[in-house]
Amino acid sequence: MDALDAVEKLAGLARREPPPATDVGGRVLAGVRDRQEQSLAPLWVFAGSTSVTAAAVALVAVRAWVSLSSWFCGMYWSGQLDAIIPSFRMVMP
Amino acid sequence: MPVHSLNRVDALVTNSDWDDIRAALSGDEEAYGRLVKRYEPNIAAQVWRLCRDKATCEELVQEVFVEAYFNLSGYRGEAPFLQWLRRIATRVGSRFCRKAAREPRHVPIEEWDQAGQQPETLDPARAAAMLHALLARLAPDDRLLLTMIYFEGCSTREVVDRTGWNEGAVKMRASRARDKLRKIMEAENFTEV
Repeated sequence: MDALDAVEKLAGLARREPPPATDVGGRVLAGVRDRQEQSLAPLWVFAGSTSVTAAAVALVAVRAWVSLSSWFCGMYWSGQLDAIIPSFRMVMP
Repeated sequence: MPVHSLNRVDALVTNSDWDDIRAALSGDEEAYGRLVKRYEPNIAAQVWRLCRDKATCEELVQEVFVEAYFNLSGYRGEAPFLQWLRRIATRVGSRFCRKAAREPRHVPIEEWDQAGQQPETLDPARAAAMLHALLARLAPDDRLLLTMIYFEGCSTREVVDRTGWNEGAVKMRASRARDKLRKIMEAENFTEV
């Protein structure tokens, strides 16, 4: 008997085998919920990292402004600006 | 989930399926549960042929229905719902075959000689186990294809519908897969049964 004929015979018998009974209804719905939550996870990561970055940028900006403004005010009150401004006037027409 | 694309009511899709699909798309979990219950035996039978392990079979059935849920809005009703599910089950089965090929296991065919004496007296479960072991030695696509042909008795047209391959490709691939199977059997002295 040819090898593939034997396989055909075997297949004819194998098709009669009943599959096992399964009951996955509850697991399917749980799987759907899991996947929905997983699909939201990247959004939370994005929102979290964006807000942290924004907060860091805001902090740096505030600190820079505070230090620059005190330096600027220091220059003004010490009278250095009074000395600088006329020199600009000399350069500019 | 959006409730678009469900305007077409086709005679191929039963009213109960349509009602449950529409309800599931609107977020009704019970309706989707009814669809699962209705088609679970068919899908379990399909994936069982590939894995022959109850726990794996349940995992694969679950995977099919979860994937179907997230693709439900793309179902147009141009084919019966079961046919659409079978395509997804074939994709899931294909992934399973690839994964199984990456973790090769030797599946012995001990009872081949015994089966060769009087194959018609063989128990269907034993015959199925032997055929499964034999097909497991093939490459993933060949295994998937011959499982559909031998185990499920699929015609070329049905294989085309499930896999999305064209008819010529299916015929050629089936012929080559059979040749490979014959060579495997010859190499292991399974020619005379």
